[in-house]
Amino acid sequence: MAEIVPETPRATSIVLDLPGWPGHRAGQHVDVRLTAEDRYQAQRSYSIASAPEDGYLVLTIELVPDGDVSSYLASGLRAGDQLELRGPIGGYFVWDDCAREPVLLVAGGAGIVPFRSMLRHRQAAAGDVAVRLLYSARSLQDVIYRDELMRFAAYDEVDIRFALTREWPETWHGHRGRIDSGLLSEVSWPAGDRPRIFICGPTPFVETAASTLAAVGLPSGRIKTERFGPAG
Amino acid sequence: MEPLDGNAIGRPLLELSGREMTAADGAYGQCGSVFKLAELLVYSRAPGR
Repeated sequence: MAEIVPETPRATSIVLDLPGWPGHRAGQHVDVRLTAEDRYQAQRSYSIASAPEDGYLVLTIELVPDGDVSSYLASGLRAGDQLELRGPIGGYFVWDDCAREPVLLVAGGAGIVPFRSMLRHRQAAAGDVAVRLLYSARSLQDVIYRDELMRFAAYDEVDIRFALTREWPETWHGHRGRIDSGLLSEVSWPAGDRPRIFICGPTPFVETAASTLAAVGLPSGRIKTERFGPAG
Repeated sequence: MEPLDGNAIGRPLLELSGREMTAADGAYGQCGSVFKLAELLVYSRAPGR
């Protein structure tokens, strides 16, 4: 482990230096296994936050209340510590910059992590594919990668919208409350553009977003989802 | 109990088969509909575990 980067009060990134890493695709994940002195083992899956071109691996850990693994990874690790890691894993929830169709990314909470990899991959490849990102977070301070996302949003082809579900500044002009069909209709591409749609977040969020997008006319066959559970 | 999806079992499938399996096609025996393994619902803490 090379570096720890605090992202929000509840999320921390760890930067891993992995000599011999075989490379990964944007959207893939890894499994991290921790073994205690008494041989107790715990394993968790984490999406990769870094782009294939970055040269190092970044995982972003969301602190789960009473989560033994997340709390250790977020606050117990020190530079130079070693982790047991398996991956990269997954060939379904991935995006390569050779795909030409417009992209819609819908993230709930820490579901933003694989999309950071995709956005960085798009930028590193100097891609011009149009991307829209809808990111639902509890509050502005819970928005992970906020500064970096704002830099991405400066590109003409990248449109980023935030939905804040619990708290928002008085001057907030973005969406207030949970995502709904009106908001999804507004940000989604016309079905005729054959967009690639990725949704990542907690299971209820993913199911709501996917069924709503299908209800507004987007073919479910174009929608790829990745759910994560509360395991800490 | 909230299910995850087939992505969550990507590693064991990879270790069992030696190949990336989440993007592999499956088909329902009754109707023949084709799906990706990643689209399956996975109950990782099902009764009995």
